[in-house]
Order: sequence, then structure tokens, then C-alpha cells
Amino acid sequence: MKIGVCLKQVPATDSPIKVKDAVSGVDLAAVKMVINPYDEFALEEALKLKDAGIATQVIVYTVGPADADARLKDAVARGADILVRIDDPGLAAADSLGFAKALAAAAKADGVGLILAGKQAVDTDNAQVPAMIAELLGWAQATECDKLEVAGGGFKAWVAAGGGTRDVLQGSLPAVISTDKGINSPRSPNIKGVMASKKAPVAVKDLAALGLSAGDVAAKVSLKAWGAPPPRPAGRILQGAPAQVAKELVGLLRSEAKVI
Amino acid sequence: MSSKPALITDPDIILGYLTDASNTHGRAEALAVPADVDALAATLRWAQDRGMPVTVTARRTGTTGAAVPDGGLLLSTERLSQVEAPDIVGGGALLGPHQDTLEAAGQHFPPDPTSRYECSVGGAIVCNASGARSFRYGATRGWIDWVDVVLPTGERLERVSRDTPLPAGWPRLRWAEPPVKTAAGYAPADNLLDLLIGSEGTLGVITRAGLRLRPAPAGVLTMLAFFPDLETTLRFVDQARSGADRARAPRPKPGPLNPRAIEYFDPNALEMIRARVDLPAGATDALLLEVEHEGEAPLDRWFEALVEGGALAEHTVVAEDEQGQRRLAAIRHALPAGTNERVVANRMPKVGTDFAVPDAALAEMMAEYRAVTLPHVCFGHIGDNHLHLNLLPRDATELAEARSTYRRLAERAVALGGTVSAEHGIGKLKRALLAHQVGPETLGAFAALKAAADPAWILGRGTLLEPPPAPGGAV
Repeated sequence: MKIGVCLKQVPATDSPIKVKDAVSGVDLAAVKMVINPYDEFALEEALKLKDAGIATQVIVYTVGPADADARLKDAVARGADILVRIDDPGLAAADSLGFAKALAAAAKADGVGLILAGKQAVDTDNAQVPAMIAELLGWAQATECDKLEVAGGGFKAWVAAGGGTRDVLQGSLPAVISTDKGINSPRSPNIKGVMASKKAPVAVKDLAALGLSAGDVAAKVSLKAWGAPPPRPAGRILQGAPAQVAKELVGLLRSEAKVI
Repeated sequence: MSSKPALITDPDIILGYLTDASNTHGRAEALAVPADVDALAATLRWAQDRGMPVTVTARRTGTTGAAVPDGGLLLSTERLSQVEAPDIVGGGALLGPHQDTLEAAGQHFPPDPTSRYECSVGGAIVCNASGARSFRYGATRGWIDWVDVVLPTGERLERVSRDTPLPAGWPRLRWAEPPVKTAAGYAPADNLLDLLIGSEGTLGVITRAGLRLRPAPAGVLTMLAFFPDLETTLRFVDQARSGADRARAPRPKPGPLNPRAIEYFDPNALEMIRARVDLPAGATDALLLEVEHEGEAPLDRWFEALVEGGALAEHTVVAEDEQGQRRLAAIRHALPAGTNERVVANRMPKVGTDFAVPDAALAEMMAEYRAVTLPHVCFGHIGDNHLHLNLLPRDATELAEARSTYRRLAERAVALGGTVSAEHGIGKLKRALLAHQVGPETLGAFAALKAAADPAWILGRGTLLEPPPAPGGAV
């Protein structure tokens, strides 16, 4: 079985994010880009299934420009087999559904039996693409999975069910599973893998190659404006004798914060 | 007489200041948290007038009890945390967060103690802190251009630099520090800045510091390389550092292998990280190597050297970007965490060494560590011949044995031309070891300096030196 892994390049979570203006969005010029951390779990899970002999090939997909190749090569260094980057001007203004259509078409064309992806990307935090791919392909899905078993043409996925509880979902392949923290510890690549990855080819596909047109992926969601969240109001430090300060604090929690 | 400073006497507040990372506990009658240098100097003058012991406390990350008070007044630098410019910071500013700000702007302040996100800049200076990258960059000393200091008498000196002579009456120390990375005793310096660096809070309070910065490296390659035995590991350490541009042997034109850090993991350390990394079969020891580079990472060169050096080269784990480096850092940091878990499970303290020896004595010292039969884990800065052997006794008998083993190994390190403390300092816990290392004559010179700088002997009593009887003085 081939496994497809969706991998997105995102700004490092500790990078300072600046909004250029309301129209053109975030200034990424000085921002370090990394593999979306939740996608790292998806890649690791795919590699584990390959190590266990359940998968024969791990194909990594991303949507984006050529500067994402470094992230794809990191995946090869860890053990992925084939790299596919979907790049088309038609995708420049696409929304989650457009990306899902492109990814679904690519994975279907390659004949993958299981798609793994992070539960969400930490840049836009939409958490939509994996579920959309499953719907588009008519496959089973499990989202926010933190434990996965794949055997005999089926899967068993432990997923968050809210309130600290988990559901155990059973389904048959093909399927789309989105991975959450805790499912595994992503491996580091070894030196041979990194050296080989420098020469690894990246297959670049445009929409036409996937049988899609710009119209197919045109955004249905429109983005009205970009802006930074309002700054957090400054904290207040109460001064004085501890007994007095405690009294004042209780008063403020009651009258101002209204939390007690 | 000076007027009484604002003092906190609430024991519940003071309680939070009575210990450091050594896990020893002290006592204090009052705490002063001055808001500025004027208030700090006034507090010291007030204490000096009364002959009241004063212990400087910053972020309490030291491991030797230097900040643990033995009565008297605690003087916290926490409010002197202003960052005036990238290279000018208050003594109470946190080190790591400031380094992150610098890195984001393409600048680099190299000292990298493990506690850098918890420790203050002033603390790093008086402890002459170091870390893995000291192999390339040396300890904090080389990265401080000047300090503002308040002397034990309350006298304020600004912009104390290497051009600042020792104050009148302070004797110039002349003793031969061992030719290794060391944090044991006062530096034999002819200027006040170098004397204050590493003085462990006994000669003054650092209120502001001028940092020396360098451009951040373009790229860093981190590798975790595995070896089939200790002998092969040590041979590779020698090979890796033979052409390196290192603090103790600067080399403007370094050889092909030019690591900035060489860290060691012994077999017990590898067991501790087994869950986090795929250990290749037959691996007994490992080295964590950091290499700065321009352009492409020099992977081919290192792979070739590892193959030739007899490492389990193909299994070398590599991180070229921050994401990967964070993963490897987490593996490295699992060692102190794992050690502490064992300490908790054992319900016995650990006994940890901080010795360094000259290059030529590394193999001999490693053989001493390897021969230890008590439960232990050994890791650390092998590039500087500076290992942390953590003895993990399981009962009182083993604890006694661990302490005598520690003492024996300290004497061995000194006999091999090394130091009893390469980075943690002496504090209150290792005074006997310092005395053993430097001998009575140098120790006497240290005491004479201390008496000249602080006639009433109020500051940092019990750190480095056995103090004369307390003059007393009530809050």
C-alpha cells in the first residue's frame, strides 16, 4: 500500500509575525519556515507503517512555491520515497477547499490507500483540509487521531471526543487520518538520508496535470482583511501590605473581572 | 549613619529565596529588592554600617549554594532587569530571552549555560558561566567588556573595564590557574573587571553589563554520532579538536573539522535517551557535535571523518535546521531530567562532578570515571575535557561511598593538572576542594583580597572562603 502524507510549510511558531497591511497579509520575508508540527506526526506515522512493512511507499505532497522544497527534502531524509509539489498560479488565492481538491486529485492519481495529515496547520489553524479530502474522495476519515492501528485493510483510530474523552473509530481503507500530538515522536534524519536527500527529485505538478482547472479551485471563502490581534492590556500590580492587597484583589476579581 | 532601606521581613516571601539549584537551604532575616542602583548601593552601605551579612541573590540557578544565605540580609538584583541596548543590559536581566532577541536581529552572545533561560546576566558574570559552546567561545569572561558594580562598601563604580586598575589597597593575586576551563577561585587578574568575573558574589554586585556581541552564524549543523567503544570515541574527540578554532587554542585558519561544541554521552546516558532516538546496535558512546558553516552544511566532510574514525557513521543523526536542532536539544536535555528522575526515585541526592583536566589527561580521567561501580550517568563537555559524572546512590551506604569517590576523583583531577570546578563554581559546598586545589598560600591571598575589598566581610559570607566570625548586626 502507498501512503500519502500532506505536508505544509508554515512559519516557525516562535517567529515574530508582522501583518504588512490589511490587504497583502503577513510579511514572511524574515520569517523562518518549518514543517507544520502536526504534519511531522503524520509523516512519522507513515514512516512507522513503512518500517512495519504495512506501507510500501510514502509519497509526500505539498502545495506551494519552490522554497517549500527544503521541507520536502527533510521528509526524504527521514525516509519518505517520493516528493510531489503542487504549484500553480491558480492556487495562489485558493482556500482550504481548493487545496483539498488539488491534494485529493494528486493522491488519487498515485493510487494511495491511506492519506495522513496533521490535524491542522499552525499558521491558519483551519483544520479543514483532511476532512475535505476524505469527503471529496468518499473515503473514511478520522480526525485528531493520537493512536493508530492499521491492519488487514482497515484501521482503528483513537481520536479526541471532547471533555478529555476519546472515541475509538474503526473503518476500512482507503481513509484519511489526521494526526494529533502524542501519536508518536518524530524521528531525526540520519546523515546518509540527509546527504541523499540533497539530490532527491521533486515532482512538480500543476493543476492541469491533476485534471483540474483554476475554476475548480477558485476560492469560495473570501478574506476581508488582515490585522494583528488587539494588544493585551497591561497587567496591574497591586502594592501594599499583603492583607490589604489580598482584600483589594478579591474585590477586583468580583467587581471588575467578574470571575468570582 | 545611613537610613534604613525598604526591607521585606515576611517569612513566606523570604522562603522563596532561601535555596538555589544545589538544594541546600539557608536562612535570612530580611530581603531587599531595590528598584534601582541608588537604592541597592544605599542598602549595602546600611548593611556595611551594621556589619550585617549580605547575600546577593539573582535567579538562584547556581548549583553550589553561593546564593544561599547563612543569616542576615538577602539582596535581590531581580528589578535591575532593564535592557538599554542590545549590548547593555541590567545585571538582573534574564540571559536566554535576551540572547533570543539578539539572534533574531542577527547577533550572537555566545555563553550558553544550561540554565540560560532561568539565569540572570549578572549571575552568569559572577559565576563566569559557560556551556557546550565554550569549546569555541570560552566562558562568559571573554564576552563582557565592562560592568557597573557596587562594591561591598556601597561604593558605586561605573564602566569597570580591563583598563580599570584594582582599587587602592586590594592586593594583586598572582597564582597559576590550571591550564583548563576553570571556575575555581578568584582570577589572578591585574584589572578589576576580570577579578569581578567569577568572584561568585563576594566582591561586589553587578548592576549593569556591556556585552561583546558577534554576528550570528549563517548556519549550524548538529550531529549525534555513535561509537562502538570509548577508545574510538576519544580518538575521534582528538581528531575533531585537533584542527578546531577553540577558545583555549585559537586558530584563525582552522582545519577541515572545526566543531564549536563536542558533547559526550556515556553508555548509561544512551540508555536514558533510548526512548527518544534510534540507538544503532553496538553503540556504547556518543558525541553531540555542533558545527557553524557558511553555505551548504559540510556533511560529506564529517561523514568521511566519522567513517574513517570508526564511528557507526551511517547512523549519525543530523539536524540542519532549528526544528531538527530543537529535537536534538530535547534529547540532550533529557539527560539532566532523567538524572533527576532517578534522584527522586532513589530518594537520595546525586553527587555530581564538574572537573576538567588538560587534553593529555582526558583518557586517564575517563578511565577513572569508567571504573566507577556505583550507579551513575556521565555526560558533558568532552571537548573541554569537562565531564559531569553524576553518581546516583540508592541508600545511605552508597551515598557515603559516592562522596568519598567524588573526593578521590577531585584529587585525581587536581593531580592531573585540572580543576575541581570548570563551570559551576565553588560556592559554599566546595570550599574544601578549592583549598585542596590552590593550597594554603593562595587561599591566604584570596582571604587577604576579600578582607581588603570587604573589611567587615559582609558580602557572600561562606562562599569560596571560610569566613571569620560574623560581626553581627540586627535588621
